Formats: sequence, C-alpha cells, structure tokens
Amino acid sequence: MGCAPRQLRLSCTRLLNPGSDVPAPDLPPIVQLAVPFFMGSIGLELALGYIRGGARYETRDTLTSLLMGVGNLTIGILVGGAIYGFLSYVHQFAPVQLGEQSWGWAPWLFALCFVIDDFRYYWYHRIAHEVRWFWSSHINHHSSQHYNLSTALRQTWTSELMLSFLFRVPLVLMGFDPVMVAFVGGINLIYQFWIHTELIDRMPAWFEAVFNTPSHHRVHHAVNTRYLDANYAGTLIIWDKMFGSFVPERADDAPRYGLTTQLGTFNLLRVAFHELIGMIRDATRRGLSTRQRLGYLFGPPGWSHDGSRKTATQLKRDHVERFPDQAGLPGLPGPAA
Amino acid sequence: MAVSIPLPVLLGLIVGGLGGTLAALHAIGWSALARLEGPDAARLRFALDYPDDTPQDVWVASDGSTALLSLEGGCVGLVCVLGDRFTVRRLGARSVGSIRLDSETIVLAFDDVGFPRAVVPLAESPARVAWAARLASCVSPARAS
Repeated sequence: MGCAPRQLRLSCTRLLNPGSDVPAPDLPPIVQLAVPFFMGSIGLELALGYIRGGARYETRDTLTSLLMGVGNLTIGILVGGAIYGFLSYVHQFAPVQLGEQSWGWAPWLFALCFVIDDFRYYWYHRIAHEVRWFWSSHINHHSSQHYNLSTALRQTWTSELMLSFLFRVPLVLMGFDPVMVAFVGGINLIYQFWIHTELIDRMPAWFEAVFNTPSHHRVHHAVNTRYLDANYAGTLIIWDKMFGSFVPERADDAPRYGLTTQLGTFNLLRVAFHELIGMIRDATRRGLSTRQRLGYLFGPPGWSHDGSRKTATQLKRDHVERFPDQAGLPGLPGPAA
Repeated sequence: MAVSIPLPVLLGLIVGGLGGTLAALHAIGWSALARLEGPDAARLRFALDYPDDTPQDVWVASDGSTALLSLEGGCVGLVCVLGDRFTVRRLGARSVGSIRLDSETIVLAFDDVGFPRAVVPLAESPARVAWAARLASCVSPARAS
C-alpha cells in the first residue's frame, strides 16, 4: 500500500541501474493523495446509510478497520524502500529495460502494465486464500463482520513479512520499471476501495460483465458456503470467469461477512497476528511429521492433520450433502459420485 | 514536480477523519451492542455457523449478550456478543483452556488468539451449576489437572 520516498526511489534507480539515462516520470504518490477521498467517501456512506439505510457501521469495528489501515500505510512507508530496492535489483536482470526505451513510459505501456498487474493480483489473491502461509496475512482484510468502505482499509500488517512482494517479481523481470509497477498497483488498490459497499446493488450489465463491482466483491467477502473462495479479481472480473472462480451474488442467499470462524475480539494486535500465531503454533506442535507441519504452513486454510477442521472444499461438500438439490450450482460442487 | 500531501496535513487528515467518523458513529447510536432476544434467536444465530447441530437446552443472559446451548455428545454451543454482531463457537472436549467461576460470571479462557476469553454473565443459580459442569467437560485435560 505504501510507496518509497521519491528521493530513495531515484537513488535506488541510479545505484542499481547506472546505465539508465531515461528519467522516470515524476509519478504522484496516488495512494497518499487518495486519503482525503477515502475519508470523505466513508463519511458520505455513513451519512447515506444512516438516512436511508442499506449500509451499517459499528464504532469499534470501524476503529479497528481504520487503525489496521493506518498500520498498513505506516509499515508500507517503513519497508517500501527496501522492497523497491529488491525489485530494482531484480529488474536489472530483465532482458529488456522498458524504462530505457524511448517509449518506455508511454501511456499504453502503463495500461499494459496495469492489465498484467491485475492478472498478477488475481493469482496472488487466489493463492492468498488457498495457501495458509499467505492467508495468515490476508485474513486481516476479511476479519470484519461488516462490509463497508472502512472494511476496504482494514489491511494486513504482515504482507511483506510473508513475502507477498515476490508476486511482483515476474512483472519487473518482464522489464516493467518497479516505479510503474508500484504506480499501477496503487491504482488497482484505489479501484478496489469503492467496491466495498452495500449501498450499490448492481452496476450496468456491461460493467458487471467486465469489472469487479460491489456485487461481485460482496460475494468475495461472504462466508456463505457457496461464496467461499470466489471472485478474487482486483479490477477486472474477467479473470474469475476465465479461471472458473466466478460466483454471482444471489438474491436468495444474502451475503454474511467475515470469517467462517469469527473473531471474538477487537484487540488490534490479536486481529493483526491471530492467524500467523495460530499457524506457527500448529506447525510447531509436538509429534507431527514434516509433511504434516508443511500442511499447516502451505495447505489450504482449515487443513488439519487429524481432520478436526474443515477446508472450504470440505464445507462445500458438506453443504451439497445437506442440500443435494443445490449440487452443481455456481460455487458448489456437483453431486457426490 | 508531482503533487503530494505534506506529512503534517496527511496526519491531520487521518487523525481528524478517524476521530470525526468515530464521533459521528457514537452520536447516532451505532456503538450499541447486539442483543439476543431469547432462545430462538440464539438457536438461529448458532445454526448459521453450525447447521448440523440440534441444540437442546438453551440459556440466554438477561442482557442478551451471551447464550449457551447444550449439544449432543456433551458439547456446548457459545454465542457471544461482539459489537453489533455475534461470535459463535462449538465447544467440545479440549476446546476450553481453563474455566473460572466468579460469583456473577463464568470466565472461559481459550487457546485461540482471535477469541481469547468469554465472560458468561451467569450468577449463582441451579442453572449455573449445570452449565458449569457441562463447560468443565470441555476443558483441556492438561489444564484441568
């Protein structure tokens, strides 16, 4: 979420790419610039929700979400320079340095980088839900039982610790400058802010078909069994449709939000680290085989060596056993053989 | 040169926005806690998370903050208020780290970083004895000894 200070970015570029004589454009820190927009939008949603209904906030939940956002921003600023330095180091091994071409900073290249980064985000996000190592960080964004614009700012504090920035390596190895990669990532993040609302029911059909929308993302945040592990998109919903993870919102199954095992505290440190600590505890238990320890680290959330917990796949299977008429509907497996 | 927000202004925006939002929420009454309006409400809320269970006895705190549900096999369902929502757990053998009985409450401690403690406002009464016994059967043997 954060960007390295401009001077540090330029220093890194000159240090690690001494041959580069094409200056990067002076890109604005867009996430920072969006802060007034974030705050104003939350105020507007809150006011509309109070006046006409359809959106709900709770004081302690909102405080937790906003402080998680502030913490994420702070950590981003603190470690952003190091991550930028790492990506710049990797970037020098790219077969072509796009930033050094005469067209290296052309608007169409930004657009191309944005689409490829959105594709990258889809897979990062999918893995963040399906592999506990990354889920232990991303879970924070899903830990509120509310779904409003403050939930969008409930961001992880441990993303960098869990090495999520490695998912950006392919882009810089393709030749995109780390500055451009960070910039389009910021745009993607800002796009995803406005879809965290219950105030908007549906967008026009053409928009719903191509873009991630409040309806699609409500499904993503829902704990209803059919909605688990669905709609991973950042900006473009087409990736979910291409890779079979798209589930439409149903009028007869209103989303309920949060985690399949809800938190029982607003304590910020517990919210930020509960799954990471749980994962470490599980993986370091006595008497487990190496394979079982790896299962706790890299298996799907809910995996357990003794079957005492359930993964999303198992929950969906159980649901279909309970309601056989729903087998094969979007988000649910077909009938058991 | 790119436009940016000076750090003091950014901090002011964050602190002011956060404080203003929380003050507004509190002023319009959105700090109020949720209430379970009786055993049926507790059953419904429990069933959302654990649809396969069929609770027998249900106890609901007079302030509507907490419910205990007796389940098959000696398990206990727990519904606890969290802001204007609820958190639900199915407590079986070894689910509870420790249990402490005070005059007005039963305090349950869990080995769960995301839900470390539940305070059940169940004062001295015959019902309390029965529920305490059920909950004691969920305490991890290592802690009980």
